[in-house]
Amino acid sequence: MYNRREGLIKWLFGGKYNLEAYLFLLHRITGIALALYLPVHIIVTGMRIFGPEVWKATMEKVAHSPIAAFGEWLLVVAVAVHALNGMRLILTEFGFFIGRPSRPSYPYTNSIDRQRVLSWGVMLLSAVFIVWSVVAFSPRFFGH
Amino acid sequence: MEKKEITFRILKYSPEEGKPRWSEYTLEVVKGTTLLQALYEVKERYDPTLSFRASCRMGVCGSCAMKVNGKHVLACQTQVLKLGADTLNVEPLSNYSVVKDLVPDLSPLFEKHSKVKPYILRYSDPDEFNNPTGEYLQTPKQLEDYLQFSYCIKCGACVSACPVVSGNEDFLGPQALTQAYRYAVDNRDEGYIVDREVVSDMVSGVLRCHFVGACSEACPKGVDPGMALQLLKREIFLHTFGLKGKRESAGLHRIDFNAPPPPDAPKPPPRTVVS
Repeated sequence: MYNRREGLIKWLFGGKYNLEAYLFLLHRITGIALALYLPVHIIVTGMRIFGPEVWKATMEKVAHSPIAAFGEWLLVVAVAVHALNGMRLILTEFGFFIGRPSRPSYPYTNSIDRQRVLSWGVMLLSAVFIVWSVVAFSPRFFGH
Repeated sequence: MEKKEITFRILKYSPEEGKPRWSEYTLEVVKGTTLLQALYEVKERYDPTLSFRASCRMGVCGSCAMKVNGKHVLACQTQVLKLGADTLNVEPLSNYSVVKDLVPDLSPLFEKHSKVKPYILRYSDPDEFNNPTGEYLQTPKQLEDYLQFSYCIKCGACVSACPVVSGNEDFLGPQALTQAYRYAVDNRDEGYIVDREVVSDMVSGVLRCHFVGACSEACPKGVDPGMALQLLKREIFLHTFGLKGKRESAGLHRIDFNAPPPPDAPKPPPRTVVS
């Protein structure tokens, strides 16, 4: 026998499935990125305990370059996407927007189609937030 | 009659060869031909070693679930020309081991299914199960709470589509958890999620589900496992925070099998066979 468990590759390819398969992937990537960022953030802000000079020097190194600005922008986008999609998941997990159980009759409908409006809402609000964040961050991208 | 040449690329595997490989067969297919019929034709005309699992030929037994061009289908209820492609890539289900060609080993499906106690747990009248004296009454609403989920035919398509199972082998998966919900909300059952403690396990339980919805899309019977899993999460939340009211068990309606029929009951038709 050979095992056809596709492992993490299946996360990357939503295949011919729905939009939510790709939202799942985005949720995973942003979630892992935020989890990795958090300890770095704690270490960097923890430099404050060594005095204002150390703090200032650290900030000079990590916060005032266009690359750092781009990283911060990515962080803001990750937080927004993760939070918005997280709210969609919380709503559906409490049974909202997924409909009620009923006798299946062909052609079948399903809960993932019924909650699609939430997915589009997540995409739309994320897009608005990303555009706004690009405008807000643009002076820092160019080192101003 | 509409006819078309279709190329079937089938992912073949035999334990002797060791590695799976694609084999191509071209058939002339007429309108209405199902994928299962086409596979039988390939087996009869080109490749007698081709292995697949099938039984009822009418979407009831769940034996012939497989992937065609990346989509999960029951081969017996999928018409080849309706797929709208000249080349069909036919593969066994994902997330299982493959015994041969298109035959997956569904043992993990049934093992996980049995873990959630997929039967009615009844404590208040245990003798009733062994020596039934009547029937439990349910309202149509109480029936609808679980009826949809009882149409599962255990074909395994939902587990194959689930990306969480592919990343976490221990996850019970949409099929088993749907059945857990089906029995937990049945008002004849007295075990609820409390005696199906495995459903709230942090590694293998329903909280690992991220509502990708691939299971609901893949299900060929409209069972909608995605919905069952979200409703199961809600039950766990309500139970954990003490927000779930006490549920009355379905009452037993005793039947007197020796009672005479009521006077207004219609008379049976005359016997057609005289012994």
